[in-house]
Formats: sequence, structure tokens, C-alpha cells
Amino acid sequence: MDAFDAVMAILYCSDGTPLSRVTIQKTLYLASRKIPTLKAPAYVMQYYGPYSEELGRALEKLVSFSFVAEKKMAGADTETYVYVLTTDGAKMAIRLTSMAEYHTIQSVVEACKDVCSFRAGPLAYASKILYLTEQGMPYRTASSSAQDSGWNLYPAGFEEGVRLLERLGLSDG
Amino acid sequence: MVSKSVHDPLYGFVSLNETEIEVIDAAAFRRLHRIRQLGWAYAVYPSAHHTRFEHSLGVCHLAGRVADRLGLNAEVTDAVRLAGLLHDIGHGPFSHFFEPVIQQVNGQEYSHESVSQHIILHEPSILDALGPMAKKVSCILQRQPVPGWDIRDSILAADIVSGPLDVDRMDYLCRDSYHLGVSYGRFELDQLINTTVTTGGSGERRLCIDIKGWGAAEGYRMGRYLMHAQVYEHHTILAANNTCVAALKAAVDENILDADSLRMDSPEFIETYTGLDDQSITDRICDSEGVASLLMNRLRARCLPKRLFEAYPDREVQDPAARLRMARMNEDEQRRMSKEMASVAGIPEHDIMVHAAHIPVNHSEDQILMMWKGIPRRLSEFSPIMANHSPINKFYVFGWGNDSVTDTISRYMHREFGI
Repeated sequence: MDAFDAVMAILYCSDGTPLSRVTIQKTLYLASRKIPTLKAPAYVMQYYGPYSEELGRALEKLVSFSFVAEKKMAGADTETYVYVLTTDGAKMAIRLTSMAEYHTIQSVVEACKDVCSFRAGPLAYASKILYLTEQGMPYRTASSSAQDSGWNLYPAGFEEGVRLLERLGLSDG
Repeated sequence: MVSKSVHDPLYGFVSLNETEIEVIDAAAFRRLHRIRQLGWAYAVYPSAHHTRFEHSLGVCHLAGRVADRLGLNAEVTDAVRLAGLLHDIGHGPFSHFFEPVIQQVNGQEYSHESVSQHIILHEPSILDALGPMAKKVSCILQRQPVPGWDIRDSILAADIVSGPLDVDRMDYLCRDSYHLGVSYGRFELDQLINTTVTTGGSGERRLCIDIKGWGAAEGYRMGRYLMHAQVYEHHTILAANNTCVAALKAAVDENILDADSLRMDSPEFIETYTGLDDQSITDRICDSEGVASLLMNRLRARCLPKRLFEAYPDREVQDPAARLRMARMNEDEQRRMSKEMASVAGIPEHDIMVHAAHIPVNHSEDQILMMWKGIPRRLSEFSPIMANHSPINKFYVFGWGNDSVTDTISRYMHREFGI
């Protein structure tokens, strides 16, 4: 499964719920830890946690080729962009449902929906903790040190992020 | 401690400290003097002969200016300047156009950035000059946490060198415009730097432009877009650069370039790689025989391939499956199509080159931020001309062929994509 399929799969699984760029990136980052073939995109540090330029480019191309629609939504402080599949995008995404990776993405998407309703904060927090543990930091230290070192989010987001990792079986604590 | 100044055509005297001078004096760095910034752009803009060397000095200088403006501590400032100085150390001959050779030999996941890392961490004279800074510079360029630093400083340092408001882009837009003699990439650099701030408070520190710099930020974004549309993706420059890539790849296939010593795990890699430059490789290929020589000699004589076909695939391809194929077209697919078209047209494979151009307008998670009443907001919220984020997608078939070849390719594209 490549970056294009991964983006279409997550939007197809979300069943028409518009997802933000951060939500797409972080959900796929979490999913990539369960799907070896999704590990190909390289993730680097960004303010909202690990970010893959390859996924970002795939999303941008899918928008420009009319498979994904971009909508502007007013947020609390600033505007946010959210994404849904277009009719053509949904047509193309159906073929993904027979792939094994699709079902794993589906289970990650369900967990993200149940635990934090796709909110960017908890997803970003979960991704940051996981990223730091992959850099060699123990899970318990990573939880606090992500916060101490400036990668902090709101306390509510922190708790939900940890719960999400636990639900996905990606925490060692 | 500042120990030397050199003259730069854009910024006047640029100060360099002892470590930076040691880096610049290393042979691996000096070779950047012999690598043109824009490859074969001089086929269209005759004065485009500036090099990666002067660009690297410029990026170092601007990184220092931004770090000073933000009041970063001495260690972070030094590391950011060095990261700016070394960010392009991994470029091979013809800059980005040697990258396909690196990938051909080492694998798709390799790039000039991988080579930069390898040189920074393994080339003896660079490593010697950097000392303990080597690891920090490497982390900044890889966007990884710098050991012992607050993560906020690591991200800020990485953003200064490579991000939506980075000094790499600031320098190349200004420098390329200056040397090409165009105005597309010019913007109010001083104002942009002098209004750079970070989002405050105890949260994350992000690079941001104070609202007073709104016009400069608009100019920077427009400059980037116009330089891509008018210069970097100019069809004749694309034709020249595609020919160059084809010649270099053929040179590996024909053993003019030794693939074994271009493998990054080879003990000879650094010596081989840092010995290559634009002129030596052109001469070596032109003096040989075979496809590589044929193509490189055509380039030298400015006998460039013509546009046999062009389209805006995102608008022109109606069938969803065919359009998706266009969207995800990678180099392997372009090569496969080139071969197929050449075979159908009955001409040699190397006479056809498929190229999918993609001009990104915004593909970063973070766009340019403006500080308005203490809250960071996206530039697009202020700008009526920033409403559209869609990149420009163009599809070209370049080649040396007559009208009958052009007709064959048009029929092929109609059959495959309905264009």
C-alpha cells in the first residue's frame, strides 16, 4: 500500500467525516506502526508531531486531481482545512477494501474515532509519545518529556493520547 | 568569534567564524564551486552559472540573521549557521539532476540529503572541522531531536533551515533572480527577516511573521510560485535537465560512471563522489561512446528535445482510473511509458522522455504563519490571492522526432488516457 492508497483508505474508512491534515497524518503514522508496508514514508519532527512529506504530497495531489475535496472550516482561533473523498475518490477507494492493510487502517480509524473523535490534539500527542519512544526514550519518560520539552498539548489531550496508544496496543506501559 | 568576511553580491560582506572557514576550506565543500545551482538552466538563461558554493554561504549568513533576530543562544545559532552552510554538501554534479543516479545505484529512498548526512558524519576534513557539532548539524538537517536540546529549539532550528519560511528558499529565490536577471523571485528580504518572530508563551515556538511583514510574506510566497512556474519548471529547462538525467543514467549503465564506487556503503564512495563536478563529468561522458555520450553531446550543442506532447492531466483526463494513474505517476512509470512510446513510434528509446511536472504551492503541514493580535494565523487567512492551494500539474513528452512521431504519441495518449 503506497501513500496515495493510504490517504484514500483512511478517508474511505472515516465514512464521510471530514478529517484535518493533522488527523490524516497522525492516524496514518499510528497505523504505519502496525502495517510494515506503510512504514515507507519517512516521518520527521513537526510541531504537531511526526510528519511525512510523502503523505502530504499524496494528499495534495489527490486534491488537485479531484479525488479528495478540500474544505475550509472555521476553528477556535484559526481556519482549518478538512478533507473528504469525492465521488471519483470513493469509486477508486472501493478497490482498497479487499486489501489486508485496509482492515488494519479501519481498526485504527475506529479507535481514533472512539477514543478522541478524530481530534487533532490527542492524535498528535499519541504520535509524539510514540515517536519519542522510537527514538529510544522509555514510554513513561516519553509521556512526560514530550510535555516538558515543549511538545506539549492540553492535559485532556495528553490523557486521551495515552489511552489511544493503549487501545492500539502501541504502549509498553 | 568572527574571523573572516567574504563579499557576497546580495548581502555585501558576510562574516564567517573559524569553524565555518575550516568547513569551507575542506575539499569536499570547495567542490560546490564547481556545481551549478540550477543545472542546465543556462540553456535558457545564459547567466545562470552561479554555484552551490555561494548559495551555501548565503544560507549560512541568513540563518545567522534569523537566529540573531530571534535571540537564540550561541550554541543554537552556531549549529543553525553550520546546518545552513552544509545543507547542500551532498549535491552531486548538476545538483538535483544527479539524484536519480544515486537512487539508481543505492535505491529510491536515497537522495542528496542522505549523501549530506554521510559526508557530515564521515568525511574526515568536514568531521574534523565540525567536531562535536557534527551530530547537532546532522540532527537539524534530518529534523531529529538534537541530543541535550529542548525539542522546541530542535524544531525551530530545523525550520529556519528547512520549512515554510526557511532561509534556503529565501536565499535561492533572491540569488537565482539576481543571476538570471529576472524579477520573479524578488521580495522584501530585509523586512521578512526583521519581522520574523516566534509564537510565544510556554507552548511550542513556531516561526511566524509579525503582521507588519505581511507584504514581505506575500512577496515571498508569490516569488516562490513564480520562480517555479517561470524558471524551474520552464519547459526548455525541463527538456535540458531530463536529457542530462538520461545521459547520467546511461553513463552508469555503460560503465562510464562506476556504480560500485557510487554505492554509499562502498569505502570509495566519499572520495569518488566528492571528486565529481559538472565539468569533469560532462567531459568524461562526451569523450566516451554510446548513448550517454550522444545525449551529453546533444546537450552541449544545445540540441534539445522538443515538446511532442503536453497536457494538464488533472483537468484533461476524465476517466477516474486514468486520472489516478496520472496523479501517482512516478519515475518508474515515466520510464516505462517512455520505452513503450519509443517502441510504438519506432525510434530509439533514448529519443523519448516522459516528464510529469508538479509545482507545489503548499505541501507542508504548516503554512506561513502571521502573528495577528498575539495569535498565529495562516497567511492564507489574510490573502485573497492565496485562496487556491492546488499545485500545477503538467505532463510532457519530450523527444527528438518528426511529425509522424508526434502523431503516434498523440494517439498513444488518447488510447491510454483519453486525452
